[in-house]
Amino acid sequence: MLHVRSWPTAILHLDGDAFFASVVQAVHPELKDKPVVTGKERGIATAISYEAKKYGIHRAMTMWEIKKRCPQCIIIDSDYQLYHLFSQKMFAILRSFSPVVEEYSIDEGFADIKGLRQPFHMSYEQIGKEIRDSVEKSLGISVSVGVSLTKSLAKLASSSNKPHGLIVVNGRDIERLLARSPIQTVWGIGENTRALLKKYNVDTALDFVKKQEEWVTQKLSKPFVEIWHELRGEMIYALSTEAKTTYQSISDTQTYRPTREYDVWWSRILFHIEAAFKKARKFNYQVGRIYIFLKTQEFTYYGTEVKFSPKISHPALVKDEVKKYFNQIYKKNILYRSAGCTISDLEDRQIIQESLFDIGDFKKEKLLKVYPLYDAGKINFGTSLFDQREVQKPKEKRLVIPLLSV
Amino acid sequence: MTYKACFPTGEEDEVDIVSLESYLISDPHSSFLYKVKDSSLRGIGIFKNDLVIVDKKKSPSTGDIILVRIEDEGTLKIFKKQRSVIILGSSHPDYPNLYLQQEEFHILGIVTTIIRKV
Repeated sequence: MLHVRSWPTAILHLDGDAFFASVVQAVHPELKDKPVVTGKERGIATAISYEAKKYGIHRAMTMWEIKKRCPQCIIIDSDYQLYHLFSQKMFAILRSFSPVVEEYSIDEGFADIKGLRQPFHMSYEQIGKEIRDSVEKSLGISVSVGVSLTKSLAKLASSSNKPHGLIVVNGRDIERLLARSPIQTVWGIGENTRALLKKYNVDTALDFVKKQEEWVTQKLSKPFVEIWHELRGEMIYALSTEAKTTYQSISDTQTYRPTREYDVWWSRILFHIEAAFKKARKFNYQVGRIYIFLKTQEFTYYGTEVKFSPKISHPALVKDEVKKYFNQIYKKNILYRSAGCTISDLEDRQIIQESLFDIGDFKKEKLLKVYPLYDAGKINFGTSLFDQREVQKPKEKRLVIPLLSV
Repeated sequence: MTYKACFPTGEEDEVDIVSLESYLISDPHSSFLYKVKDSSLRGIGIFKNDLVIVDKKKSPSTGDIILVRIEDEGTLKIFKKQRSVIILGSSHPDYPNLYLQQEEFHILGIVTTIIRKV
């Protein structure tokens, strides 16, 4: 039905298998092949190893529920710095094959590999295998790879055979992949669209592409017409190789010389919150949640989450509220080594009305005038409390390698 | 008589400025740090609490120093292969050489660098 040449385009999708848990197992080899759950510091699961998934443990499940289902489960703290480090290394390996790489999220990305067969003297399947094996061997984590004509097809391919999968689908094999893919496994098709399509007897991705373009245009909105093209092997979504512009959460954290000082850590927390919000404002996000944490010399995390409704984009306005939460996690006489925050529940600012600011509130108005100067780099927060050199991130790119602990 | 100390020959005399990173770490993508936990390789100058850099990607050949996991414990050994038998050698009288089956240990990487502060 589809008349597509073998390789008019060639896109590779690389996807970490249970990435956070896999990274933890890579630096703690004694945890390999064991059920591991991260997120101890938050009380809910943030990542689940494949061994733990077998017990029906899913994301956001409480630790209490997890222990009930799987008493031998190993529950540990998240380590966002470590995940980020592994992510950087994973993309560096991907870039050593192709310069055109999109970092879609911390644990998955795309690469344009068209034209690489000749310089590498390899088929696309061999290139896919080489990339997968190179990441797995170098970093000790498990990843899956899909290679096909478009981003949507490559992602469908990689997700169809996890973990440690390699699925290569050329133009002539697209129909076979689509036939065995339920429609909800397609990137961008959610529960509501699935339910709607079901009413027209569209169960698989192949049922969907068999519909006429006119039909899709009438029944569904533009993004789904684009998906329809993508699944037919016509590339609509180009790779965005620029820095990422959509985030589910933004983290900012740093390790410092260990100290106990209350003022120092409070300033650092504020500094990291400001840095994360600066990035959020750059992408026009408002923020619903701030998670702040301190890490001790013994690598124990103390963290707590603050929620905001309505969402905010200028943290100085909620400084006092955040301080109450900081006071809950900070303990005198404990030696801390790092501080940071993760902001999440992000939403486009255009969608939300700026309802937070009462007109006439003098202090708030003033603060709002300060922020544009901060975003433009004309002033810095946190300069008064301690040496700025200590807070600012090192500009120089340093080589960092993870520590194996076994 | 040789004057090697006075007149370095070979590669050394070409070293003018050296980046420690590139000298110590051949492949930054597959390198990990490991802190040595025991004295089993004392005889060849690797001591407890030394830091070593381990390359995960390389495959071992006879004579390589490797980081292995045996029963959930990490340790450094000297890799030797005699036909199909693998010997995990030590360099300390208290640590005998081990003759193990493939499934009894797991190689975590090959030691490429030893770092010790004086």
